[in-house]
Amino acid sequence: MTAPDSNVTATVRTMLERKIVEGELQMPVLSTVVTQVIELTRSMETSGTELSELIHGDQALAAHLLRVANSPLYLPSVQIVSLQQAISRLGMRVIADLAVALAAKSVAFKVPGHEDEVRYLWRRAAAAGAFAREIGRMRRKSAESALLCGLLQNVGFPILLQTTQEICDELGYEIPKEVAWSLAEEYHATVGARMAGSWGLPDLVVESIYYHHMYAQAPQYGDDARVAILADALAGYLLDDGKSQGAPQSGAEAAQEAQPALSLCQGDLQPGQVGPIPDVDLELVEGAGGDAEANGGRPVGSESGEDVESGADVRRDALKSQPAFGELDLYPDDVDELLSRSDDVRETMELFV
Amino acid sequence: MSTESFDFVIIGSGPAGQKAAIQARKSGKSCLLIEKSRTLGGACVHRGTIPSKTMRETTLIMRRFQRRTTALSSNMEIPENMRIDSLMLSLDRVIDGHVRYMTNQLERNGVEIAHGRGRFLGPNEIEVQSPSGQKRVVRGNTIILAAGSQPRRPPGIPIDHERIYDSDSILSMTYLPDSLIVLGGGVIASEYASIFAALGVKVTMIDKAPRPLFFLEEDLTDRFVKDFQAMGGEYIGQDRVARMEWNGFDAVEVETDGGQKRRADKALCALGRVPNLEGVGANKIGLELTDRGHVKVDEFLRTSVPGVYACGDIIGPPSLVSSSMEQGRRAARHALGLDLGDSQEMIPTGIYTIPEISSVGLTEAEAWERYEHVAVGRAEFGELARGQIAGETYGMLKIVADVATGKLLGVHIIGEGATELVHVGQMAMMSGSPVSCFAESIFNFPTMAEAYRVAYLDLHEEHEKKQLQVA
Ligand SMILES: Cc1cc2nc3c(=O)[nH]c(=O)nc-3n(C[C@H](O)[C@H](O)[C@H](O)COP(=O)(O)OP(=O)(O)OC[C@H]3O[C@@H](n4cnc5c(N)ncnc54)[C@H](O)[C@@H]3O)c2cc1C
Repeated sequence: MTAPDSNVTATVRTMLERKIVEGELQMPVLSTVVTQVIELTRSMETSGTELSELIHGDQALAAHLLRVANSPLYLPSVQIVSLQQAISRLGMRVIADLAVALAAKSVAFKVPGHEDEVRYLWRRAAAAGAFAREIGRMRRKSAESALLCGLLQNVGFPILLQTTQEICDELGYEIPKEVAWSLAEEYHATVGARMAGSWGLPDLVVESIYYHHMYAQAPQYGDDARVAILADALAGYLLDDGKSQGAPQSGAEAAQEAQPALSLCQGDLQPGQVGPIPDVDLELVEGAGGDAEANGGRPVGSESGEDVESGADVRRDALKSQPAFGELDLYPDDVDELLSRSDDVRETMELFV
Repeated sequence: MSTESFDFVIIGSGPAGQKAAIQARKSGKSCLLIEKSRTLGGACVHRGTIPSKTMRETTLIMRRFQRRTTALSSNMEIPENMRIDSLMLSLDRVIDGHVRYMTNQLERNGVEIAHGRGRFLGPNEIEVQSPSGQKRVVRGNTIILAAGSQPRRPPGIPIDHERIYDSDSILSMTYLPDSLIVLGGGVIASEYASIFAALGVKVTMIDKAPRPLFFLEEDLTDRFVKDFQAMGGEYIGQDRVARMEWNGFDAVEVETDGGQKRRADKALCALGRVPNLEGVGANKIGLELTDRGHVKVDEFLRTSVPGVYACGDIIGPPSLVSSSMEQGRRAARHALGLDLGDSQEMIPTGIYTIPEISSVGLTEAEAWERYEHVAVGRAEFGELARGQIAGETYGMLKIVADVATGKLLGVHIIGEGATELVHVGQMAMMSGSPVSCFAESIFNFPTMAEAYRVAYLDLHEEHEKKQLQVA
């Protein structure tokens, strides 16, 4: 492979853009079973038997549902062995959410060469989904679709990484990971929304994915887009918080996990400015840990382990000062309350990872 | 931290707070209005009156259309999986227009607005915390607490806003359900129950009262129940919920003390509202509360703490926009030492059920408790030319009068336009006109207001038969 020259990024970007505009991205397709599950669970008349017959057609989905139904979250008094039992334990809504989540994970969140980052991305998506539902409840607004908005806001990332990789392979180029991520960041909302649309998800979910970085411009579902982006910020905080409390983790793992986190935070907290990430490395980010202002007010990951407490406080304060919280009428103590529900969030999150 | 001072500091920008603020400014006093939400207007604009009425309006249009297309023998079905927000397409425009109007009015009058949460630090001192966490302390010679109310969460009802909603979250439900259980028989419960029933949802209301809207004239509630049943609704009265839960699969299940069992796709809990006292710091200044937990006030809206007034939903019933506005205005006028005018006892009740209900003055039963001889007259909307033309034949107006003096004591209406029509009767009552004025006045033809004349003639005929004289 040849080394990239200064025009490489521009060339890759142009080709990527062309593929997006001309609809040539290979959109991951949901299995027929999952598409039908979405349809069926939306109808009020569906019976458990009908649904279980359908799910039998997708072994991965069936196995996942059984695993979830047997998880501590649902405290089964007896072991759940049949799908019918699982369906009645989990409920239609959870089944629908799980079906979409599982499908999204298997068809969209697989990118050779970016495995670790994409794994982090998925964990974060799962946490964001769980937080989005909590925000919905706290605001006394329907929590029905919030989970999907939170979960799927970044669903466009992996396919863009994948396509960028394919373009590079085709041209014989090699570009640094962070450049690939920054390209993905630019277009992930558009592509993610298109993907959700093609899966037949409700308009609310599609619009909130499209507008999650520029919620103020959303025609109808601005608040749902706000919920999604804030849920992602909370998820970032939760996952990073785990690290700064000294969870055993190798430096390499931390670096791999932090990379997408930084990329995601960049645009998240500045609606409308979905630009490429600045050329920061982890050293620099550590330095900026004490200065939320310099970091665009975003939660900053502290990898040093030193001064953990003040780093966590700074991140928490930066998180709370997101204007979108105020725009949803959520105050700093409401954010504390949301974070105090982290155990519930982790439990819901585990259902999806 | 420096402290700014104002003549008036008002917490809450709902109808009560707004009117208090404007009154204060009209008298040349400085005024800070604190609102914790991003937009002004309170429950009326964002969670209650306007959203529910917008949905109701669409429902009515659909029903009328349905009735007429059925007459033309092409049926318009309400689609399965209908999105709730598609029933409120004009909502944003209505709210934007209303908020703009209110904001302009407040700004034009020079009311300073602070976006933040207000909390008492002392009787004259309020801390305002902005959404970003910044704090400022302000002092007010007079403080008016108009923080409104929120839905009550009764113990044992697991409101999750996904399957079991409250009146704040119900309209953010994604799809129109097939069936709905409504807990409660008050105004909000009855409004939503009838709107959803009119949309073809199978609705079951459960309440402790023998009939919904128990405080109203029985004739009206009987009609309401009949119409509700005709739309497929069911009312379970004199009963209470013993258990309510999501069955973990496909339905919310309810069991009552009376042994009734029902299941539905979704449920709405509308079992009253509680004052927004959480976080206001009421106990910091020793605000006295009523038995039901509302802020206790005297006839001038003064609380137990000198210099602190309260008005609107936070002081309890009647909990209407009209009464809240009037209380806000009166509280400010009292603090300013201005004449309060006559206390307006005569507040009409407007209930936006389908069909609409409105009432002013005494019910027939109340009138019999206070007067020796009471006369009533009724007019069916079907007897009116306008009712026939508009296809609004399902409705009734009832008047209640004192036989000895001919005084009009009450007007009770069910049917479309009831909340407008009631004002004719209200004016007659306020001016002390005898009930016979409806026969002597000339009304436009064809109008629904003719119902007053028809009701009077009915009353007169009834009493001629009994050879009583209505003065
Ligand atoms: C579903 C529904 C339908 C209704 N329909 C009708 C109807 O048809 N007709 C009618 O007359 N009435 C109706 N009502 C009742 C009506 O909305 C209320 O009576 C009225 O809004 C009360 O006005 P308020 O000013 O007391 O309080 P609110 O309108 O509740 O306003 C209080 C304001 O105070 C703010 N606030 C609270 N705490 C703080 C704090 N600590 N700091 C700063 N700000 C604070 C709140 O954010 C809110 O904006 C309905 C209510 C509901 C829920």
